[in-house]
Amino acid sequence: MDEISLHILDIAENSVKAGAKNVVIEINESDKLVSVVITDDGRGMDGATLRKAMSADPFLPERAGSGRGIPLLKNAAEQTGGEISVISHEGSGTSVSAVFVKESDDFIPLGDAAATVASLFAGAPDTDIRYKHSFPAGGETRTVGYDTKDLRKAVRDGSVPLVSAYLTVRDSIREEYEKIRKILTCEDGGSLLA
Amino acid sequence: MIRSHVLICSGTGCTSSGSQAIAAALEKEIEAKGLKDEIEVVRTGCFGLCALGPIMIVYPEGTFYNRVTEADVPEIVEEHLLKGRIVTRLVHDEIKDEATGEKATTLGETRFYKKQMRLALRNCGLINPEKIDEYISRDGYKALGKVLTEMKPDEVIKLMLDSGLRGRGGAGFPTGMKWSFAAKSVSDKKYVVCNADEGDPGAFMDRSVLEGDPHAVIEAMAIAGYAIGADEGYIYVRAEYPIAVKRLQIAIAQAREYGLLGKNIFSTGFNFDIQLRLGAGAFVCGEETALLTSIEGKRGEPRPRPPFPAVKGLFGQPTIINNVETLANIPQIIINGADWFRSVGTEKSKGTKVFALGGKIVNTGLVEVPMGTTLREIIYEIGGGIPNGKKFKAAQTGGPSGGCIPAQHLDTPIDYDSLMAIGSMMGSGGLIVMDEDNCMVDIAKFFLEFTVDESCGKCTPCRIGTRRMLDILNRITSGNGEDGDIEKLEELANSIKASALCGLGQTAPNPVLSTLRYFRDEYEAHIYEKRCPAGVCKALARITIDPDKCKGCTACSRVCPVGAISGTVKQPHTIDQTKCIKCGACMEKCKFGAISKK
Amino acid sequence: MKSLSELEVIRDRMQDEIAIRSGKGDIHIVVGMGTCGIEAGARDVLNAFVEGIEKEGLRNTVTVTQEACEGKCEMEPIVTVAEKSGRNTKYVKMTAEKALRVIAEHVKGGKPVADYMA
Repeated sequence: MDEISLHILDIAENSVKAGAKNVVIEINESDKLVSVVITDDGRGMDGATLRKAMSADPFLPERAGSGRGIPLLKNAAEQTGGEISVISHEGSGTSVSAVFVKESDDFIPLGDAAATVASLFAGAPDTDIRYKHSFPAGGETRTVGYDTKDLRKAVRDGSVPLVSAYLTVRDSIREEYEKIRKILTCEDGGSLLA
Repeated sequence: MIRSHVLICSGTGCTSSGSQAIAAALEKEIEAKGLKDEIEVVRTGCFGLCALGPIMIVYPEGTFYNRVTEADVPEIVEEHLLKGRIVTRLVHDEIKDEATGEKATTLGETRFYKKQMRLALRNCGLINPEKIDEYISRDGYKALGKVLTEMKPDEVIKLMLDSGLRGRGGAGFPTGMKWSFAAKSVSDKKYVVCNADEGDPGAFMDRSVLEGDPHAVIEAMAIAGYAIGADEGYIYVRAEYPIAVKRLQIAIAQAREYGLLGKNIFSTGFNFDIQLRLGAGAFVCGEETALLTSIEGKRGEPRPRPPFPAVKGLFGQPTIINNVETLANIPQIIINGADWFRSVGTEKSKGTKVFALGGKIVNTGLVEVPMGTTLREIIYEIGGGIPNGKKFKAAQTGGPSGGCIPAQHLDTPIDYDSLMAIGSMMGSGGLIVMDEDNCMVDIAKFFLEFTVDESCGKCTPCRIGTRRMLDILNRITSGNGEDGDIEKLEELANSIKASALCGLGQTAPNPVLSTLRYFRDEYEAHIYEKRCPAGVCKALARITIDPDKCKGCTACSRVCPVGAISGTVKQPHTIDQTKCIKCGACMEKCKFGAISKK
Repeated sequence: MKSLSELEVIRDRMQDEIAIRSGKGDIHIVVGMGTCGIEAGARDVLNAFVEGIEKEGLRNTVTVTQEACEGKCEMEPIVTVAEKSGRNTKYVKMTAEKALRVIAEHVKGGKPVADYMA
């Protein structure tokens, strides 16, 4: 996978499959590192399952649901010099963290996070997704965030078609990134920034 | 691969209009056209829009065909099933969108169904009641499974109490309370009885549930048995419902086959089985104590209460008796919870009510609405209003035990308490609409004739009192009413209500009392003017000649057998009311429409 | 019936058979979104379908959603078009461009695209 957001999609899909009602995606970016944490309140894994998930071969083409997601993520992070950690307790949920080192040649960009969140939303009828990305830009820390909770209600009661909801999520997040980009490149006629 | 389901109503209404012949013809034609592996014909229960039967619905389109005949079958198969072209002339004729003139093509789009909330009727018209698997696909027996494996009996009773479900047979007694009394009674033998006797004239709510979704009743009875500690149940169904009896027999046999009735259900050690008992045509056996007496093999007569059946009922053991519609709600309450049920309806009347619309209404049939829906919405929006442009006069609810509701109360939200406040009652759900051509005294007489006929005779107030009331009504409607009759009626009515042994007697005077309350002027016209304002009571009907229309051709006077018509040529004629025998010959003869009966 | 799970087996089997009577849910486009799917580009395929459906004004009658992995990783991205008539069409090795043709010929025109099927 050539985007961090595709890995996020993969891991978050696992959360949904584990029956999560809430999935929190938090990306904290500094000048040197990108830290991704995906936390859910699904059914979690016991010790044996967790060990199995961490050790599966990422390149073995296996059957469905083989749990290649975590090994793939581990591989991607470690290639940049980073690492992952997975904390999970049966009945409480799971938290997957991954750190990527930006300087590495093998660093992959975040990519289309908006499409990831929207995609996740479209396929998870009973799960609320909270997305937050903090990153340094133009000398300040910017944050892009989105919570699907209210949109979820509207889709469930039929007042908003799923297709429209997908686009709302995707475009709202894209808009927030766009706003920041405009500030940085002075497109809105705002202040000069480095 | 089966790509289409054709649903055909197999309730009593559509069956008597030939729906079974249509279903058979359909199957034959489908086979002939080689479509057997693609199209499934499903015989379902009642859809509710009985006025437009036989009803056929084609899925997945959801096309709603009405008034289908056997002769239409080849065209339906050729055009719709084979070529995908809907047969528009058979489609329910209703404009969905005024702006575009677009017609409604599916059930859900019609005015009849839009405001309904089908909970008790949720499977009627959707599944084949003779296939237990189809009931299971609709979460059938999931509630029983949940109750037996996850809940204790007192938890089930608490759930029933919390839900606010009240008896749908008419009295509206809280179901949970009834169950808790029986559960508290100590005995090693208890019974669950389903009252499927449905005796009110014009009521067919229970019939439709029994014919369209019998398993809902069976499952609910098993749940009730678990809650109170009973292992045996009886369904007392009137013999006048042969289709319902057959469907129940099939359903019970299939449930037994699956081990859902019998010993050790779901391996939990719980035993429960059900037997059918057929009624023999007595209205009084719909009264719970008379019903129990009938099951015991004796003549159906009510018993004094206390002791109540929950303490001492069938064969002297603690028994709960519940109405069919009440039971049909229970599996869903178990699955969806008390809060879900409470979210529908009014403060004191939770859930929905099924009504059988009859009389002067366009859409006769079966409807289910949330409690609190107004009479106006039911009659005009769902029921389609009064046919032939006539004016609404009153609606009778509660059958022979109920009262009439006049136009000024059309906006009353329907629930147990509000209907009692205006002098009627919810009753079992029969709703008969009357228009300007109905005589309210005649209506009261009709219901009283029924209760007099059905009185078991055990107690004097009912046996003799209602008969005396009927005598007075007969005199009034035949032109022999006297001053003081109304007061006598009221006095008799009140004393019968206070002293009769059972509900039949106690409520028999209600139609008279409520028509007196709102239409006293009609009674007075009958008594003092010897006139029936609606023109119904034959004895009081007057035949009169309209002087504006009469041409004086003398044709009528020549045909009158008693020489009651007089007048000179080319002059308006008149009828002598003392001589007129109301034969109507003059009316038939008159070419100018000048003679009418009023 | 010895257990609740026996009941569930019947329920699941029958629900598919009876689904045709619900008369709603016109067309569902389901994109496989397991790890293999995501690796092969399923997210962008889903995105393309959403945009295409929106553009054609079909948002009220067509849903675009996703499901877990099918197990045929070499055929991913896999897209299933489920219609209310009961017809289910499976497309393999889908791309954003192919999505447009599926929308035009199958969703709008009613004729599945044989070239893209398994």
